[in-house]
Amino acid sequence: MKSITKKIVLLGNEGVGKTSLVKRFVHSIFNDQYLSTIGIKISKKTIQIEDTEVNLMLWDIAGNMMSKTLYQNYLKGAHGVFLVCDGTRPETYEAVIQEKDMHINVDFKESIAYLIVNKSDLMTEIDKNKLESSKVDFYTSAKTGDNVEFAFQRMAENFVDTNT
Amino acid sequence: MSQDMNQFEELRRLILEVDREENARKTDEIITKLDELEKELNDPDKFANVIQQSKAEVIDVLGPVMGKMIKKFISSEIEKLKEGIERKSKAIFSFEFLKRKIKSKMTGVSEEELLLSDSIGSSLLQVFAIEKDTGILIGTYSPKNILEADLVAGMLSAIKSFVESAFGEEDSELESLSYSNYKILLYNFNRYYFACVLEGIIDAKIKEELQDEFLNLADKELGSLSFKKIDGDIRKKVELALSKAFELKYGANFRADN
Ligand SMILES: Nc1nc2c(ncn2[C@@H]2O[C@H](COP(=O)(O)OP(=O)(O)OP(=O)(O)O)[C@@H](O)[C@H]2O)c(=O)[nH]1
Ligand SMILES: [Mg+2]
Repeated sequence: MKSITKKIVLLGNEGVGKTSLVKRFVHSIFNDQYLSTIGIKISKKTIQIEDTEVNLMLWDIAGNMMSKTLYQNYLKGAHGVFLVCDGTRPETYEAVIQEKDMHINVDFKESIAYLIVNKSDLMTEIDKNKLESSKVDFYTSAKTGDNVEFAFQRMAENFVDTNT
Repeated sequence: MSQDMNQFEELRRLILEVDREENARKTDEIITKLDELEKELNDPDKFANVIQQSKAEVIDVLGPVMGKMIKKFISSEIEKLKEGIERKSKAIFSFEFLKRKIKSKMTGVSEEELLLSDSIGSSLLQVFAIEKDTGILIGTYSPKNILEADLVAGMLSAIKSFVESAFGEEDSELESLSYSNYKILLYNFNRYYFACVLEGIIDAKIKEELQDEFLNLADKELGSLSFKKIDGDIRKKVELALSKAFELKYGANFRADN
């Protein structure tokens, strides 16, 4: 079987659920406790897309490193970027929109960027109306698992399609 | 010789602190041996000759009581001592012998086995070839696959990238990391770098040998590969090249479990 390895970077403010998304995807677990990530945590998950084995290297970057100079280097060579926000906190949404438009789509054009609105399980209609739905790629919940696997799967499919 | 004396003094202190309670008799023996050695060292004429004769005994006593801490300390002390002595007296005796003796005691690998290899003071545990930007593993070689290679490659790259962006000057690259008795040497090339995990005494000779090996690899086997997209095929080729380069050369030096 063919085998490829790709790098996905997860960005977003503190507490939006990046680590929780990775844990849900890699280990199928969720924890209510908030343990802020220190620096970077790298995880790996292998999935199969048709006849290709896709190794996903997930770079989970601490939200408190949301300063361009610090994480710029970690984005280097990223094949995919997950820009994650917390659906109940509009300011985190504004932050990733800004990051996506001003930075990722400019300096990292080669990588596939998804805008992820997490904690969908907590979102009310009012919360949803505050976001521009056309800009959102996925609404996920690390808690219920809703859409999590699907989002990573989509990214992996993209890698396989573009990896010719 | 005063600097060397201090080092022996320190060595003695350290051994005493760690092992006195559990092994008073052994430590007394060590002190006696070190005292003898010390006395002889004060006589420069006899110096080389006597060490040649007595070092085996010293090490025989040291061996059983050597804990992890001491192991590290001795490694570094011998490194220093060796440098110091070579500079001062150009003594002809071989500290390689001493290192081998200690190593043999510590690892359970026979001296003869260790003798087979030239780079006696250290063992190479694992080699990685890693793409620079992405931190993606291009290939790895180790007889035992001690570490989760993909994750190590990523974390190493993250650390490297952090250090280089936080403290680095223009064009400077991280060259080594140390942890306890382990050292990770990094050899940087344009699009990828090699990381070598070693245990024990790493001297300039080993570093150079590895450098040559990697230059050679980069020039020949890896030079012809296109790393545009790292896939299973590339990984296989690189791992074959790495194992060819390191299996024979360092095979005998790989440490047995201890
Ligand atoms: N209800 C709910 N809670 C969530 C969800 N995702 C994460 N959380 C909670 O939100 C808190 C923060 O989650 P983390 O995954 O640690 O957040 P993070 O983005 O990694 O934070 P930093 O590491 O500080 O950048 C934790 O208490 C999680 O349990 C979700 O989908 N729904
Ligand atoms: Mg986190």
